[in-house]
Amino acid sequence: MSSRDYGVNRFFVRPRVTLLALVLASITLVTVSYKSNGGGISATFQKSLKSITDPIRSTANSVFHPIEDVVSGAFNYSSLKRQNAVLQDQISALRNKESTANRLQSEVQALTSLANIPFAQGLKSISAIVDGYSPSNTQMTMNLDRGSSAGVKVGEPVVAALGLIGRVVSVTHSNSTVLLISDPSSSVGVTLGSSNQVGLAIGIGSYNSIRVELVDPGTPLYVGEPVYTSGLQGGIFPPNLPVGNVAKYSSNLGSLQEQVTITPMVDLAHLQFVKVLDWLPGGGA
Amino acid sequence: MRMRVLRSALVIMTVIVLQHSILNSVQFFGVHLDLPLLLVICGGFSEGREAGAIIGFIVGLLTDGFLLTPFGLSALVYSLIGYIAGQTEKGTFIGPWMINAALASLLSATGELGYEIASRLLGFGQLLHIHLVKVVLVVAITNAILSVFMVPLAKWAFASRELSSRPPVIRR
Repeated sequence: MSSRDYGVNRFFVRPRVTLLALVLASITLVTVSYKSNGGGISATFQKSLKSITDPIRSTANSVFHPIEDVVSGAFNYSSLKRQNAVLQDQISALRNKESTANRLQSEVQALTSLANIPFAQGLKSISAIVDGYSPSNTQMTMNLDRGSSAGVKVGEPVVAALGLIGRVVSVTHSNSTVLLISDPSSSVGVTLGSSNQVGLAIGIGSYNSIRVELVDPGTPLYVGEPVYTSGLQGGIFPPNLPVGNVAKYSSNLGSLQEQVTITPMVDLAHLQFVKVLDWLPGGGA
Repeated sequence: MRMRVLRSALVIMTVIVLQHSILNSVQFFGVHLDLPLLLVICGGFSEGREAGAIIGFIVGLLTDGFLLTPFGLSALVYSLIGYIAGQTEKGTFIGPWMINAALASLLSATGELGYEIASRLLGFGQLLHIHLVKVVLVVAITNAILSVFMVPLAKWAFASRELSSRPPVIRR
């Protein structure tokens, strides 16, 4: 056997051949999945897997929930103490405000009925409970307890009382997955309140801030300025859903765009109840 | 053989379900633990490069079932990580827990970075943002600590009786 034959034979030892086969299989799966744009065989496998594991996961969630609270409490003890102190302050403040609130409530009710302009006016919605967040560090999604059996469809926007949360990206019979607006792969066409300047809100992997791109330099902005969905961008979201408030902005000399960061209107990290709007991209309901 | 398959399936499914239930709420600096990646690394430590790659592929496929990135991406990264973990040669590194922990930490960081680079190449996520640095550091440290428990578990789950009774490899 020549030294060259020996080298080739040595390269094709079984572990390397196995690795090569697995890598090729993985690349094939990635290519098929990428080409089919989330559909096809891979989507069927994902749906089947979710359908099988959802009941196990839900059972495990309910069984582990008390342990989860203990573990979470243990890991977040200092944060819980801080929260407790803040809550105590809030309780005393709220007690003071309660009497004022009662008087104002009747006025608010009258005003609300007079100017009934909620941001999701006229759209049917499905209420859902947040079943849990994705444990992955690479994506920011959450699971809802409603699926196709309740009428949830892929692409529908999801909102909380204060504004936009994200959109439905995957649906099984009894569950659905929502891609949060804070995910780096999420982009939302937005309008900046006073100037009507449009931009693109792109997640940066943080629950507390979202970057807005494509804002012309010199656009008049102020901190706290509300940002709404534009309804452009091929109509992925309906217009005028509150997205967030401008947290900071700056413009570098010679820069082609304003550096704008917004704080989401909704506390994305602590959601319990949400609404799925019966509205599909393209404007259909 | 049948018992080995059952044990492997049991441990893999338990880790996947744990990751998607109780570990949902366990975060350090906003970063989740990554048990499936640690299982692949410890599987590689325990059973060598070929088995490590196969374990990585299976765990990766199951993980992909819960992600929005292209199906097969985790399988690709985990196969490579399992193979590299198995390069330490079957059995020889099982014992000194500090070496296991250091290797698990290094491979975990490599796995997280590898996944991020691969997903970025396919147009998902953002490379080298500040959150990634936190993810790599936290997963590397937590996996180093958890490897103390995961290595014996992986040995129990994946080791075949015939192979484990084989005399240890002596290196010159």
